Amino acid sequence: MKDTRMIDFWTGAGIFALGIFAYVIAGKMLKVPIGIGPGDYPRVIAIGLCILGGILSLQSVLKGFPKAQGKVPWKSILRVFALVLMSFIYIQSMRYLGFLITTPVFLAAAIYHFGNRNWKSTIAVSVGVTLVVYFVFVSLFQVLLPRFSLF
Amino acid sequence: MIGNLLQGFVLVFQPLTFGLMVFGVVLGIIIGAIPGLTGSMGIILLLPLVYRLPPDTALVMLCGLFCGAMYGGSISAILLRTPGTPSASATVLDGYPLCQQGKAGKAIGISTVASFIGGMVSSICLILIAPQLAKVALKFQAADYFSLSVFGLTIMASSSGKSLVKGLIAGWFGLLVSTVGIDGIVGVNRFTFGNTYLMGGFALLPVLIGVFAVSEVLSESQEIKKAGQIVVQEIKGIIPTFADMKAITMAVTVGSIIGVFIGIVPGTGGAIACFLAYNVVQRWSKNGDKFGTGMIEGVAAPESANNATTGGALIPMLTLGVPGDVVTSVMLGALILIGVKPGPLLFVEHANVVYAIFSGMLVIQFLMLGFGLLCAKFSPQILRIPNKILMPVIMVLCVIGAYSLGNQLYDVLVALIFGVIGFFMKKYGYPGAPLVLGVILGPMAEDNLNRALLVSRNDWSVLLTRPISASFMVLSVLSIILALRTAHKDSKKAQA
Repeated sequence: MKDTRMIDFWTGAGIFALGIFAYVIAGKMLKVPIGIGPGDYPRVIAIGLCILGGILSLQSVLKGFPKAQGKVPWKSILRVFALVLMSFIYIQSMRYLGFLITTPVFLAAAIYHFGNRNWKSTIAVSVGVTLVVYFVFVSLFQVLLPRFSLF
Repeated sequence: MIGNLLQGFVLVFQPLTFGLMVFGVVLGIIIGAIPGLTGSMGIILLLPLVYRLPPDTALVMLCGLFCGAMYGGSISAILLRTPGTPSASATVLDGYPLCQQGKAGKAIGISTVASFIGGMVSSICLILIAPQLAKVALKFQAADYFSLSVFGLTIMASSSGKSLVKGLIAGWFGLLVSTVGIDGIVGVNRFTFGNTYLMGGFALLPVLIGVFAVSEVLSESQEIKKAGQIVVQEIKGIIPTFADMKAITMAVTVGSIIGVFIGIVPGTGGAIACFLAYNVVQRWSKNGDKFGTGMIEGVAAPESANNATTGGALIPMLTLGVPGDVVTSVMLGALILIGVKPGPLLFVEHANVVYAIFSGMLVIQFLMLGFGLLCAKFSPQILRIPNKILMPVIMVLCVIGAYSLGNQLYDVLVALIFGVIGFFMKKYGYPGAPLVLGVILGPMAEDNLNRALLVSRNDWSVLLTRPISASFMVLSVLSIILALRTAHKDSKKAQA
């Protein structure tokens, strides 16, 4: 099994920090005389996160102090982030360019990203899927998909 | 009850409902068969359609997809040695050896019949148990609901997979996510940082779309994969013989019973049931030593068990509003979205919906059996659908699913953010189910604790003096002890 001690150590530390952050913010929330106040419940969760984060870090230290292990799989992480970036640009540009323009472009880029090098099938799928989805959702389900608008 | 069931059948056989039910079953089988796609993802892809249908029709379609996907997972487990869904993981053990012996048709036939029997048993249990449990649940007060949600949250521990701590972190993170937004009682902003979008909190469905669908697409994009080796043998001998049926009787019986019980326990699901049933049947079988070499009992036990969890998982969701597994948690989100609040009142306020589900579940099993046996010959074709085309299309459908929730791109961004979180969780061994349980049960726990304390004027003993509440508290403690013991045993095993 993949050794994740190093990552677990830092994740635990991050969770611990998140718990502290949530506790501090929740501590400033309104107090109420009866029942639980808006900050009480998040504070309990924050304490739980601190404890669990601490345990995770401690576990990875007790298993032997974490050392940097092997190579970080940068290539696969970069591929994932490339898709995330593509999706983010797709979502943001849909606001202005609309569904019909952005979707075939996104689909073509994503299909290429997933390894399809046949341009004919890429274009056919991206245009075909966009039109089918548009027809089904707009005409049949009456979902108001974003339209081209500069303002 | 019989009258209500008959009314349910009338609804189920209406053309639109029946057509969509068939659509749900067929789509479920296809989705289940394709490795990387799961029942929860299938339901997510159907969400935009769900918004626009009557609740009973929508739910029957989703149930069809749920059962179809549970069965469909076995097809790739048998033909590709890759389970289509986690629930078919144990089917690989004997299904693939059968395929190697040229008996892929027989393995698919046994899997179909076992899934049918498991599904029928669980549907009957659903019809018999759920109304009774709902009657008890009608007596629940705020303190009882709080204790129930605590019990549901302790289940996080048991659904934590390999690492208890990682499962709990995922669950507590889900709880924290559920607190974002305006507090329901005092009206104070919590963790919104002045952002108007965050004031509404994170809607459940974009979170689910992100954690279960977008994360899967991101995972698949890590490397360019070559298509799996698909079996080229002729699929024949699909219908099990009398001797086959006799041989699998014990396996199917045990599998069905285990599946129903596992299904009822919140936070579990088919993946646990299939291995448990496989192990028990292997131990009890005369041919236990031959398991793993292509025994039909080894296919029948996990397949009956995983399909038996479907009806079981619907019991806590419909009666208590606590999801039985990941798929039912997505269904719960869909239900809330279409204005149907699961819980005991569902049986009073929306009896037509409940009985349509009951009748639908029975009909779905026959549809699954029919399509399973008739289409087994074509099953290798399903596996030829290339991921490099499918995944981008799924991403677009996720975007539309999240967008159509409230016609705002903010929900799509939330789905993308939770997709990235889900991807890293999956990569580093953090299960997604506890996160979802936390998001669903967090508000239920907080609201009911607050209500119980307001009514009792800050008397915390109310949680232990009410018998129902006390029972759930005891169950919660037992659940934690059990999870700790299991974790301790696992760590000892790992050290050995």
